Formats: sequence, C-alpha cells, structure tokens
Amino acid sequence: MKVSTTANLHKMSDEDVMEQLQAGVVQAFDIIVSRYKDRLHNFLFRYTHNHEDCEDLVQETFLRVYRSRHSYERIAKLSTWMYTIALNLAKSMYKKKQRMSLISIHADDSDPDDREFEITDTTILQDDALHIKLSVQELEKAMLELNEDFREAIVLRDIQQLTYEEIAEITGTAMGTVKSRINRGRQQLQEIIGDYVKSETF
Amino acid sequence: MNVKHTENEILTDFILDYSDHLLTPAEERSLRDLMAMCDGTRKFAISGRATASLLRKLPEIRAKEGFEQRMAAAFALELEDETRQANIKNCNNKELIN
Repeated sequence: MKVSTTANLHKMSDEDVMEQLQAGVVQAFDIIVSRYKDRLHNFLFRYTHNHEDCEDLVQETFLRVYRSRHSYERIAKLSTWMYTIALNLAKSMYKKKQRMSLISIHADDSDPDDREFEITDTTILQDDALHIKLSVQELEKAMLELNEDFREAIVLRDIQQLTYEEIAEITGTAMGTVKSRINRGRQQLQEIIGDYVKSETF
Repeated sequence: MNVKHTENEILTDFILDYSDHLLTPAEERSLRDLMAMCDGTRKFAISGRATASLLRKLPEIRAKEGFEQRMAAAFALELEDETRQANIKNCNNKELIN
C-alpha cells in the first residue's frame, strides 16, 4: 500500500484515511479527528448535556477508534463505524449516570428505626420545568426523558441527519424498527413539551 | 375513522416523509385526506413534523477551542503506552528464545 504524506491524506476519503491509519500512518489519526470532532461533539452532547463530559467521551471515542483500527473493514462507512463506537460509549455512560442518580442506602435489619430510603437526583430527569417557559434548553432536557431507543434514533436522524439505513446499521436494528422509533419518539417528545410544539406553525 | 398508525408500515413511512417534507404533492394530498378523516393520524403527523422541525433548530454543538491539542496530548500518551506494551512483549519473547 502506498503510504501518504499529510497533504495527500487531506484529499483522501474517510475510508482511505482509515486504511492509512491501519498501515501505521499515525498522521491519519489527526485527519480523522479534525473531520469528526464537531460531529461527535454534536452527537454526544445530547447524552451528556455537559461540555466536559462530552469532550471526555469524544476523546475516548477517538482513542477506541485507534485501538480497534484493525477491526474496521471497508465494507462499512467509517462514519457509521465511528457512530457505533460513540453510541456504545454514550449508552454505557448514561447507564452509569442513571445508577449514580439513585443512591440506595441499605437498612440495618437489627435497628427498627433504620429503614431503606432512596435519594433521587433530579438533575437528570426533570419534568416540572416543562410547564414553565419552554425553549431550546427545555427541548434538550425533554430528550433526556425519552425512552433510550427512541432518543438514539431521533438524535441520529434529526440532529445528525443520518439516513435510515445508516441508523439501522449503527443501532443494529431493522429499518422498519428505526422508522417506527423515530415516529414514536417524536410523538413522545411532543407529548412531553406539549404546548411549545403546538404553537409552531405548519 | 381510526387508523392504527403505530403498527402500519406504509403509514409510518408516509408520516416520516411528511415530517421531513419529502412527500410528493399527490402523496401529501392523500395523507391530508386521511388526516381529515382520522384524528389519530392527524395528531401523529402534525406533531411529527413540528417536533422534527424543532429538533433541527437545535444549536449545533462544536468542539471547544484547543480540542485538537488536548486530543493530540491524549493520543501521544496512547502511543507511548502502546510502545511500552510492545517493548514488554519483545523482551518476553527474547527471554523465551534465550
């Protein structure tokens, strides 16, 4: 395989750049970072709602791309493969956050006054603010209340503007399921944000 | 009239394309006829289009300034670690040979 200079790398397709990375051209990594950094931030922010966490996840995604470079095969688009890695990371981070939001303190069976209680951290899932003035920020928050499957389909379609085929590949689901999730997710989102959507004109 | 819009594949496609403004004028007329007859479909289609359009107005989040430098630093550590691991492996192999 022909090894390229940085100038040549800039002109290559994503898949060719990845092939260079597989061949040991480390400069190819910088090209992938510069092409995907904004797309991945825009995607992963919908899971973190925090710039620092988002940047950590984006960095981790790129590092995993590098570590798993030899498992990438050209039959898939590089973007689809990268989104799959990013989505898996986002999902595991989200689950961890959900677990942390529910702190369960175990009771001491020998003490009759000691009973189990739960502290729910409401910063992750809020719904009272939905009845107040709704804005983009509220829409972002509403998305956190969506069922996980619906949210990933909606983020990939409406924010990342990927095709149904790409979403099906990234999420490992049938295209019919993807379409149905997008429809139902939009419906559920509308139910959460209610009047704000109704006020839009068509 | 009430159509089970969540289980009907053709209608799902129609509503998605309506939400994304991808229907042909004839298709849109057909869907509007159905919307006039079926409350559920009308509600589903209108909220789908409104929500999709709202979501597309969300501001784009971009990498913060200096991200590429921070990424390069993390990548340099990764390469260092990779080299260290490779060296350990080489040493072990040599020991096995000797």
